[in-house]
Amino acid sequence: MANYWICDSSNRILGPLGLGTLRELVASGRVRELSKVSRDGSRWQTLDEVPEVSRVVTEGAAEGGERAQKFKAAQIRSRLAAMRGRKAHEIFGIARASTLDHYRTAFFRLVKPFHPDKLSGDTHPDLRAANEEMFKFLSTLMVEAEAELGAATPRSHGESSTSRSKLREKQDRIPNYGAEEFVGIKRGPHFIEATVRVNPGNVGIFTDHSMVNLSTMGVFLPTTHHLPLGTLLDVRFVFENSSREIKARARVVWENVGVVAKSVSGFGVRLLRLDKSDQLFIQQYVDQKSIAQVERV
Amino acid sequence: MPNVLIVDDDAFVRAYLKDALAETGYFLSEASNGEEAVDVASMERPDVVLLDLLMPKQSGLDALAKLRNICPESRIIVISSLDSDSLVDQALNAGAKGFVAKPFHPLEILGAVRKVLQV
Repeated sequence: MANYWICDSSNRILGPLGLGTLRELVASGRVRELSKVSRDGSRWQTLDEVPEVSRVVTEGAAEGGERAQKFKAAQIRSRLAAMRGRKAHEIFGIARASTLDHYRTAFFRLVKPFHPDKLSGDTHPDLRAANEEMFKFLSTLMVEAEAELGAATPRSHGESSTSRSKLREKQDRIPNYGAEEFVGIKRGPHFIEATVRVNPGNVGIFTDHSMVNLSTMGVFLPTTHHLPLGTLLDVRFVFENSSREIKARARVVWENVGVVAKSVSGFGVRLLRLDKSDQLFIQQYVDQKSIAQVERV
Repeated sequence: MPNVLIVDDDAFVRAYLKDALAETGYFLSEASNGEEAVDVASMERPDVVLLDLLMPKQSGLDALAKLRNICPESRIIVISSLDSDSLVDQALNAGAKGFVAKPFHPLEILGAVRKVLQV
């Protein structure tokens, strides 16, 4: 068996070692930042000059990273298993009679580490899946808590408290828009584009949802299509009675696959890059339509 | 009184080991790398060597091989955080009498030294 000596960035030497032992040490994180390698303990070369060692170090590091991520995924699932069957206020660590704002604050604090945006592109699929499971579980829990607290009412920007209460009285608590407002998804080899036809009847997609609304740079897209959490897409908004068309890059951050009663299936996206002027236009469109809606009531 | 040679490139670890063995009354000496360990051992003929593996100038495994030649009566205990199964096996097969993984409790070191001295 060939033997090698390795030297780390602090000029510390270890050897002679077989490649198997070296791989084990690198994968476990016990040896890192290797700078030089030798076949005889005296003549040193860079890692690149000894390809078999370079390969073992690269593979060992990848294996170690994968192992750590799988361990983290298992930890998340174990935590999730402990949460199942418990009440929202117990999991959020607040009193049962807390206000909706308290529920929301506690929810956001808890769900933040599991948000798809927190994961880098090279995250192991198992860890990504575990994060999604936790994110979906907590989101569903929050939606259920909201439904229980009877708070699923629109929160249009610019409404007065009087007009809001008027609107509340008249509404059936079920959103007045459906999947047909969502024109569809176009998929290409390197892109996904969603087109949304915005009209006075469905501006609630920007305001009704507590987690994805204009104040959080989000929008709820009612649809029966499924896009996994974390998916990047382009969203195209086409506004009725306006020639304005807005395109924005977005990421799927929430989804309701119909588990929550009295709510529309669909997913929530966060708008990643939206011009100030486009943001202002949407805000004004929503405000105008909401006021017009209230006036009609 | 037994003579113990402490070999580690980390001054903190050397001081920690000296503290751990201070009350035993053993004669303690130290070295900060493999080369120095071989030099000191050839003069002092230690009863026990506490030997780190990852060190500058000369690796602990190379020093272990040389110490086995220079003073075969010395009982060598490897102290290292590199406690992978294959490396522990390699050290024991090369003649080490024990392996204590870092981080360790002072009593572990005391116990390991006493054990090899009784054999």
